[in-house]
Amino acid sequence: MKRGFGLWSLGAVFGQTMIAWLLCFAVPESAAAADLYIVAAKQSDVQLEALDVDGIITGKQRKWANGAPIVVVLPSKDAAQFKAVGDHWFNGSGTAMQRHWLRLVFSGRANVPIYAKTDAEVLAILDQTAGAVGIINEPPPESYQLLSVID
Amino acid sequence: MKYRAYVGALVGVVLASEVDAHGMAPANGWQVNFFTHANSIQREEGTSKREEFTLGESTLFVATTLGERWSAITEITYQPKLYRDDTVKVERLQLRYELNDEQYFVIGKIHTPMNYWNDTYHHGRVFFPTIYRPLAFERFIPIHDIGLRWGGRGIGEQDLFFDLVLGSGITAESEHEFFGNGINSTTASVGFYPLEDWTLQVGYYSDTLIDHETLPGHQMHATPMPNNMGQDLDFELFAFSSQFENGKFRALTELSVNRTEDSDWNYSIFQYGAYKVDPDLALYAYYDMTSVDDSGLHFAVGEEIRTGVGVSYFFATTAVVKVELIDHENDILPDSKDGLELRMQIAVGF
Repeated sequence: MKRGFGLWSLGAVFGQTMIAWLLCFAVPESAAAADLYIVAAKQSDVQLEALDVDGIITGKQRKWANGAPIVVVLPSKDAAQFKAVGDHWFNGSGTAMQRHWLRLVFSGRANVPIYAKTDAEVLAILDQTAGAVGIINEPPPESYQLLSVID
Repeated sequence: MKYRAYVGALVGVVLASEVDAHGMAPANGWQVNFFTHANSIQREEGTSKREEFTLGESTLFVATTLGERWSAITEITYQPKLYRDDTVKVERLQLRYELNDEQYFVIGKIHTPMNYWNDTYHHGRVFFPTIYRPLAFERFIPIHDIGLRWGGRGIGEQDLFFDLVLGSGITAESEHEFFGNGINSTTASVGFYPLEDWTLQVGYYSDTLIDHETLPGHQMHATPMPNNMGQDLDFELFAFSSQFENGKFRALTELSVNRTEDSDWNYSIFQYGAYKVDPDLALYAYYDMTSVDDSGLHFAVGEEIRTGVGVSYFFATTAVVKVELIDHENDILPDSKDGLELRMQIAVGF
């Protein structure tokens, strides 16, 4: 079957032009250096040495050791640590973090996360939501359990 | 009419509650999203050329946690009458119960957990690796089933997962008569993570295609049905998936073999590979093929192949443009045509 040479060449030129144009604008996000504190409400049975913090933040671990569901509190787009979280766990992109979690929720592989703007909002959610884990910029008060520090 | 009432009620509940409908869930655990897409297509087949603009499915997706152990998902699509007879369709409607920290039950209309693609991607095209679904879904693999699903996730050190579904089958789903013919289909799948970034999965599906000649997936017989055969055909399908994804590369392999009774095996191959220039930009290529044996009784005999190269760019969190150049070969009668296609798709989510 004959191929339309015109369409082939048009497609090749178009494709190369698109790729070149997109590459010019594909500026990687710069990482925002920041300490990140992964915190939860005080729980007597959390074994820190067995905790998979990376698995919790990326949605792979959905339950605490006692079987209770983990509710993940992620930084919203306006949060100071939005870029830092994206940089550490999601290949340098906060929007990649949001897309990652959307994919998990749509496929039924994760519970719906909560998004918070400030450290105070994160801590308030931990107070109100059983099993919640959040990420803040400052060391938490002693009434909360510090699970990990990312620097 | 019942779908309009359902959608209207759902929209009313959403507006009445404190739901952030722009992507992210507030503390009460509701999530509502809307997805839609459009395609611009230039196609050349033989001496004919065609240009068209098409509107894709629009999808309303609602997910909610109803308590410590209960959650629900519903997914409704709309597409104008120009493109399909059923303008509004309930694609998924499922209630999930967490049996324990590893296992769950789901009841309702689900995506069959046959392979990685169908278990991961819903009807919004934003997250599809490619513009088209693999050809196997257009011919062999049932996307939906209605039934009871028992599954498990995160079992053991290598995150073993499994699913077992007893469902009403392809015939009931196509006729919207849920369980009108009883339980006809069985789906079983199992998989694990050999590495953190790598998933392997195998699946099995069996069904009885009742009055198979009346089903939408039926295409003309290559050979007449034997006189001693009724119109019901037993159908079985095996699937294999391998998905690898890290910060820079992605590879997805979807294989399947299937047959109806008294026919030989048909098969499909989908191989996708991508390089991520950055988190928003990817370059990819794929090979997609289905083949029906000469003895086929339900699917039309022949091969269909799509080979494509593409670019995918997320210009917002849930907004992507994909451009693909696709070589299409098709020797399946009566529409056997080869052609070349340049397709652009913009898919967005809110």
